[in-house]
Amino acid sequence: LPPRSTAPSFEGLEALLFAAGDDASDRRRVDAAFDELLRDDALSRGVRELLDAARARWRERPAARAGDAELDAVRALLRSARRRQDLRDVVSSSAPFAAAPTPPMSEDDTGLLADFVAESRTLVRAAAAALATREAGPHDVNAALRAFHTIKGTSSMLGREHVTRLSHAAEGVLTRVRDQACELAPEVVSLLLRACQQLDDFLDGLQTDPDAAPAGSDDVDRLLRELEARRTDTGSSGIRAGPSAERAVDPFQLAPRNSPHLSPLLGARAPDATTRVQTDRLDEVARLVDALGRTLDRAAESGPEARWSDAARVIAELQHATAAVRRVPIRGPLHRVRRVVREVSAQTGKAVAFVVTGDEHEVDCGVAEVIGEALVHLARNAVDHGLESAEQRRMARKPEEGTIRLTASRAGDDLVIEVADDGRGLERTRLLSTAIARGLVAPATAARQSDADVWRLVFAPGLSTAREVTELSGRGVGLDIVRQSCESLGGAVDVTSRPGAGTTFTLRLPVTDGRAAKPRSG
Amino acid sequence: MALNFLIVDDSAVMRAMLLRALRGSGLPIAAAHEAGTGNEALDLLACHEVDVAMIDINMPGMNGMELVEHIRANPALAHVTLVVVSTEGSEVRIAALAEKGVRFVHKPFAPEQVRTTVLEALGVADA
Repeated sequence: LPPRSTAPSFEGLEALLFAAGDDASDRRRVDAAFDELLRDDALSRGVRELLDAARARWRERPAARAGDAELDAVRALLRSARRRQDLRDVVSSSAPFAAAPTPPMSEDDTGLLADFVAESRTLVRAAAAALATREAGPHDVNAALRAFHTIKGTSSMLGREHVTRLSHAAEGVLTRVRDQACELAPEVVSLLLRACQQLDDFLDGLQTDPDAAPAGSDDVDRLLRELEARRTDTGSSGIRAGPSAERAVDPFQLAPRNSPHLSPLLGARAPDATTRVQTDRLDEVARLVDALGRTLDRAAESGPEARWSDAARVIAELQHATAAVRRVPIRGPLHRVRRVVREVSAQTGKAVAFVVTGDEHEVDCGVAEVIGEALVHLARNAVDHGLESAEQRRMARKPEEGTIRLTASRAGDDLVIEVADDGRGLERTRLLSTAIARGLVAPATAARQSDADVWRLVFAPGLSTAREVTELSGRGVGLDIVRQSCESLGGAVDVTSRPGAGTTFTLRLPVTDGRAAKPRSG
Repeated sequence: MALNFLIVDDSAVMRAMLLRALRGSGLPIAAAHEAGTGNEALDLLACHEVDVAMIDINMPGMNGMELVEHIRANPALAHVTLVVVSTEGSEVRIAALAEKGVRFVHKPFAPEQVRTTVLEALGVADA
């Protein structure tokens, strides 16, 4: 080694290490340089630790050439120590630090918020897709879990508490699923998918108005409560019997008639089903009941005959008012249809414009429930089967984005809802050959069937029109169930189609629930 | 001379937020490398001299705790100071990390917390 000319420094020591050989005198000089550096009382704890570590490594290293991996590690320690040493000087001259800005992330960076919305949207969709996977396994559960976790973290940084709360609740449920404390039963999946949909809605809101604090909504509160109940539930349904218990998850399979998703379609209504009522409609009912009471009092005083017609009139009004109490705008169920379209669009990778008109029309809440379920099926089928892939649409010279139009209108006492897609349309030949194979149409009469009759074959039980069995719709497309539920309400369903141009389903339903008045037929 | 940072998080948004917090903290930053996975982090550590690695726990593939183990098991990375950044800050986890000489920043974090924790992790008393 050359004779030392300057006081030991980090740079000096490093150079020394680089040049030092294995002989005893070089080792002593390096040791001495370490000692001198460490003698500085002002060294911070971190720097001292790194220097100690560097010296220990240096002493213990096997005799070897300069430049070996061990020496590299020693020099890395030394260089990091030097950077930290400089840091001490900067920190102690505290002025620039004390004045360092501490920007709240929520306020000043819309770019960050936009990135957050975009990233979270991808994550929400990934979570929904993972959860909706047939036979979702631990890998899917973990993927969904991580997605909610990430959204929780980033939203909390941005101070978007409503997003944080919901993603936290969903994460809590999935943590229990992962830990096998809760089974990923269909109702848990559908609860978590609702959370995904709600998060997606929140993201829509943030995108439209970054500063909008969403008004508390009953739906969200209920969702949070249900998630919380699942997270803390220890005794009832949804709990895994044992680690090997069979799982039956297929939220989108439409075939089994007892599926919880289909129960509203089949007329089984939850005993505690509730609806929201405009108070003026309830007031009207109360007024009419009063009026009826007075009419009957007067009938008792002045002889019945004169008053029966009055009573009959009030009773008719009362029936009318009671029906009004039960009527809700179809906007509510359509909200869910919109989410499903978005979800299936994400899962299939098909771009979809969903256009709704007439959602202000009202129907009986029982009918609304059925409409909601039926439209979810129709909309899901439209995206999944009706619309072509982007590639196919390009080849057919159609815009890549498919359109699904949902149009509601009143026709007398009926509500008419059309669900129209601009997709591939139904295929006569394929429908007929399937129907013949299923024994629904005699081969001899096939050629004589009108197009309209052929299109209606889609409502025949067990007839699948899907060319591919997809994750989303399973094998049966469930249109027979849609028809059955409409007919049970005294309504009807029809379909028209133009090959290559699209398919339109038409639901015609009574505005009042016929089931309330007459006994249900099986 | 400023410090070299490595930010490891699978969320690009969270990495951007952490970088903003670091800049807001007033800590001198020479380089801020970003990794989206544990393996990317190890690749970056192999070719850059990093003083402080800020590590998320919940990541696909190698998680943050495994990454901490990998780094600690590699003598060539003895100079890297580790800070875990996570929402999962149970007392037990923080204690277990502290035993390995790893500090913890709770999400959500403010720049002040990042500054304090990083300085503590670096063994530098704050002014």
